[in-house]
Amino acid sequence: MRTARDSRTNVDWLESLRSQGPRADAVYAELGRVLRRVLHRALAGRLHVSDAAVDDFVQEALIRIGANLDSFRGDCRFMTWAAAVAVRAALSALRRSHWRHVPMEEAQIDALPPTTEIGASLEASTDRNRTVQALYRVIERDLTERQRSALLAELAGVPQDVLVQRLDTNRNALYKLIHDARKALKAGLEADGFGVEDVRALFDT
Amino acid sequence: MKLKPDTLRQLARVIVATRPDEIDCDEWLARVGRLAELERAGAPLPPDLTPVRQHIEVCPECVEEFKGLLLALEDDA
Repeated sequence: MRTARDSRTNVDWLESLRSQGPRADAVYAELGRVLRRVLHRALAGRLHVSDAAVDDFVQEALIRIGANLDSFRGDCRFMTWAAAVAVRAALSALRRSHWRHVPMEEAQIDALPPTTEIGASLEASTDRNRTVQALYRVIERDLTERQRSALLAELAGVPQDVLVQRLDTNRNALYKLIHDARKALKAGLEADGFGVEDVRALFDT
Repeated sequence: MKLKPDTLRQLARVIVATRPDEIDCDEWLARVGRLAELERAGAPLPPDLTPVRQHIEVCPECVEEFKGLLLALEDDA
């Protein structure tokens, strides 16, 4: 499938990027130009993202795309997949950059500060309060320390790249750790008599 | 332990959205292109994309990337 702005077919892109020499160089340069426009749109409205930073993101994206051509499934436009890879590269870099400036004590995943009291809107309902207390109970009872740390850190906005480093693991293993934690919470709440609708009431207005 | 109301709500959302089998972020990245194109076209999602859609209900980084991807594709109308 082609659009006016993407004159190459998926096959064109793949064959050209897998070729050698000047043909490949020219296609990578073309891809880089397109990804630069893609990232400017994707990052629109974000402060402090310089053109130089976008250029770095594009270079990282080109490396990742070149190394992972075999993972392109062919079920969408090649440029859409390439854009997704580029957006991930850019946002990952921005998150790492942000957390570089966060003081260590704020980033310690095992020392997340207790925050404000439960809001009045949640306390107002006795049923909701019971569900909240059950949730706290299950968090303490049914999660391992590692699961609890990872899940709460993710909710606090700690980037996965940072968590992977702190927990000495990899991104997919981290996802499984947090997935297991969520499943344990869901199962623990159900075992205690709190179903999906009780939990849904905590965020439904 | 106390969580902020917004954090509590977010935790409740991801608990509700949790499924026994989920795809991880790498598989999501490989499959999200098709989801993005179909959503932009307003086309119905086939069942095989359900896990891809579900993933952005539970993964905060991937949902941010999905929003960025949709912005990136806006010029392709």
